[in-house]
Amino acid sequence: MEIKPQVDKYTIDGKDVIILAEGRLVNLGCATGHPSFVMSNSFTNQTLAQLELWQNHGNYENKVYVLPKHLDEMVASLHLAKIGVELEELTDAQAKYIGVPKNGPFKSDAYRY
Amino acid sequence: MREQYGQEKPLKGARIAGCLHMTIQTAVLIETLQELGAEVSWSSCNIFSTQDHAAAAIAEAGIPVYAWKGMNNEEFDWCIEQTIFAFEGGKPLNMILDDGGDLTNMVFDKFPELVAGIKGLSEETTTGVLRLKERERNGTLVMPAINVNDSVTKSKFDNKYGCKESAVDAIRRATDIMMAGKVAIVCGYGDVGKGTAASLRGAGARVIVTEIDPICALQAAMDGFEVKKLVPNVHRADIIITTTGNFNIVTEAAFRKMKDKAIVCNIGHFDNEIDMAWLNKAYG
Repeated sequence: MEIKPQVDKYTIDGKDVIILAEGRLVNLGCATGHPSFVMSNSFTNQTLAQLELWQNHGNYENKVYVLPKHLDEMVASLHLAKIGVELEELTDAQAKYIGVPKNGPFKSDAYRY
Repeated sequence: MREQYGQEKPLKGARIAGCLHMTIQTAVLIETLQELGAEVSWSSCNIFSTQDHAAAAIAEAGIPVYAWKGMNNEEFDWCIEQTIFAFEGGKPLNMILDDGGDLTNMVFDKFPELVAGIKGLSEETTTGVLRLKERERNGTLVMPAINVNDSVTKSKFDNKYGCKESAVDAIRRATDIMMAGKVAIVCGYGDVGKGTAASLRGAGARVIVTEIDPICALQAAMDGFEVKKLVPNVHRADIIITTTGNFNIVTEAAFRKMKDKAIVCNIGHFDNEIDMAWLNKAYG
């Protein structure tokens, strides 16, 4: 029985169960999905992926790739100012000490965050 | 992105068909792709996820968009199909932007003659990536694909912090129940599960997690959650939410043991985590 759109009641063995959004993605069915700030991160990745494939498709085989880490770090960089984040910078000596380029990528591909 | 690339129009010539929740955030993505020079057509990858005002704004901007909130499954497929040939002069797409793999599957299976003209595809979500990996293994992936989901700035943010905001938001808007003190079971403790469990805990719910992966189970336990099996514990739950990306998570065995007025929902991509087919057949 529909209580209101995307909220349905079923009665099983005399007990009621309330199903939201017919079992589909509840946050998009019953609310408005994720907030814009976090989706901006996702969609910046989408845009970079489209750019990369459009411009450099010759470099790719018919395989599944992830975006290189420097682009991942760029997506994060683009979002820092909005929430007032300040970044420290590595000195040359520090960069050498941990064996990464001074301006990134700062982690190996195996790093899991 | 627009500031950095807007002048050069690096996507000039690209005809991108997109299939992704037609929300206001997606509208901004569409505008960005267009500002970078692409021609764009759009459908939504879920029958309920379209925000009609967002779709209307995109339509008003002259972009072919086939999406509205609350369509049926036939309309859903029809919408996706329309986007394939929606470009100027009736030309077909030459890029795919997908969320969940429904557009990809339609192009690969129903319009294989178009594949040669398509440069590549980008995929938004875990479920779609699983489908692509399967194609890669069995040799049916016919173009390069970029897995956007596994960018750290996607899955560790959208899946996690996104759900942390939107899981409780959805349950509140749908039911207006008091969360504090309720017992919630979160099925799965991947990125979506972690965000969802944190969302419910933040609202004061007492959260139980179910897992099949020992590493994620240990993470959940050490994050302070009770980690239990679903069926023997489902009678305790006021809220049950699935986050797994797998299917048949909440089935008849669990439904029969639920308490009266239990709320059941899913925040994974597809609608088969909860066995709606059984529920509708037996009690619909």
